[in-house]
Amino acid sequence: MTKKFSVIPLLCAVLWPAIALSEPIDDIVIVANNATELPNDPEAARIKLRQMYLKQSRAWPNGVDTQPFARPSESDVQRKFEEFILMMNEDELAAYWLRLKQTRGETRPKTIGADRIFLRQIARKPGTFGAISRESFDGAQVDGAVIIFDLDADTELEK
Amino acid sequence: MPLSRLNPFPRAKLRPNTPRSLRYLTSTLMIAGSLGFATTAHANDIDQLRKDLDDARAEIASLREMVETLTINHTGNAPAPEFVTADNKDVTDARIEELEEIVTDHDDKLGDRALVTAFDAVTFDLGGFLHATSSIVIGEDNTTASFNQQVFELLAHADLSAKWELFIAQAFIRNGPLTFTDPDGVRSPEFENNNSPVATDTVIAWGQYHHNDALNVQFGRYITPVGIINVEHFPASLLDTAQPMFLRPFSGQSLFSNFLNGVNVNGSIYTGDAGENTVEYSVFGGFFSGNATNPSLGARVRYSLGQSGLSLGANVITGDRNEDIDGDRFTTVGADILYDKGRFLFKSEAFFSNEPLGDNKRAFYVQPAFRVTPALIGFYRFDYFDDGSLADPRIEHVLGIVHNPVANVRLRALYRHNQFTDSIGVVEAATDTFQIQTTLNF
Repeated sequence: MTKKFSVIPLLCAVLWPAIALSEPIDDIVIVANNATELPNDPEAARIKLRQMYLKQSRAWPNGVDTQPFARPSESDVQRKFEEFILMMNEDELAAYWLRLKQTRGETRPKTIGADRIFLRQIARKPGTFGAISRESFDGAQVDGAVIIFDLDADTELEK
Repeated sequence: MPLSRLNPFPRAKLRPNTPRSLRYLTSTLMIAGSLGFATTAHANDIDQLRKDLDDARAEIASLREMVETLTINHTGNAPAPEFVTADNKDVTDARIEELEEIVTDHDDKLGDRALVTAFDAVTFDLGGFLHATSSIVIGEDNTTASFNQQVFELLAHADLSAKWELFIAQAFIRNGPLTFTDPDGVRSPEFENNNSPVATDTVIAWGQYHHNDALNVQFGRYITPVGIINVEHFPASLLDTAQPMFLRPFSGQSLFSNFLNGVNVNGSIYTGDAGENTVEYSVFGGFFSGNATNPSLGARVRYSLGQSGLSLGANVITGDRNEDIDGDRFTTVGADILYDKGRFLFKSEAFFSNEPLGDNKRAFYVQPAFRVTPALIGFYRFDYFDDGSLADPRIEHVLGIVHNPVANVRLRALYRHNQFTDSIGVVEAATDTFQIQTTLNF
């Protein structure tokens, strides 16, 4: 009797997390008002986005005041934004906002559900930004909102 | 009888709701009809007229179909007309549904209630928390229990512009202080008066000018920016709302004052290749509320290493212990370390005060914590405080479980063991305290 058969479930068990983690993120982009700019280096850009979303930094590199928007917490877009840009899970984020509220009186970014309203707000207000699916962005074609960060192209290291 | 009654195609009936093309066709039919009776018409003309008549009939049939479709759609239960394609109808329906969801959501939140707005602010946020503690204290000679603390605190924040903001925390505190009734003050715990009147305290009231990330000027009453737990301060953020012993009593100045009235210049500077590291600083000066004439001055710097979860801090503060005694100054220096990553949360602070006219003080604690689940945290704290008097270095052990059933609710079950030692370090007495703490935020 050989032990060969027992290797297969073992391999599956070892590889499964890698398979599960390789979820594609090529459908999520970060859009911002076209009066903004980010560093060219993807990692620096991601860190700047993180700092601005968490209200640690209150200005874009070109001096425009920031105004981040959140998406519904249960949405795929927001979950991926939290995972790949903020690198925090939902509970960590909730604890963070609670601490910020108590110590500085700051509130979490306003949540916008509808994609078109989200894009219109972005287009209208300088300094605004947030995450959206590429499909929704392409479909809406709202002038004034531009893609500034592509989760697929700009987060290779994290994947 | 008016002529219009004799007219088989009265204009008054045709005009209002009849499409222009239909009127043209009708006219064409009238002309064609009259021509049909003309016996002198040429045969070719008749053929042409017949052809025109056929075209006209086809056009009428088409228009009838359109009118029927429009009529049915108007009543709301019919297929869309041809110019509404399946694709754009879906998009339109989806958008309408989305807007209805938003309107319904807003209606659910607001209903017919009035909105509260700030008099003069760009934004205004109001919140707060309710915190309650119940305790059983077992001493050497006595056991006492009480629902001994209730704190209701209102938090208000307003942005006056992009550069100016204010933040206020107003507390209403009902407290049954724990005392020891035996001569040595270590063996017989007793809750002094659980019907003590409610105390109010303006915990925080500052305005701030934001120049940029590296420079903010805060003025008013602020939490002394020294260490980790004093800055976190609020029950909702703490694992144990009874802060380490060197921060007790609330609003006191055991090692340094918990709060100051004055100015705090602070900011953040980002370093590293990608700006991943953060240097935060505070340089401050202000007056302890129990010492209104001698200012305290201090500074703090904290360095956070990227997203490693590790932060290191250094602090210094100098001030006067007693405004009635000249030269009763203190200088406190301290360091702190925070590690918060994944399941592990570790905090430690150590302070030493130099007091030429008084007793030098030493204090430190270590507080490791482990997140069993994201909503369940277990922790332990070893807390040491030597206030300089020969007979009273105190040690406290705290073991606790913290559960957040939802983000806005924090429940704690704590065990606290206090040791009172004599001048040569021998444990003289001990107390064991069991507490349930509840903090609700809104």
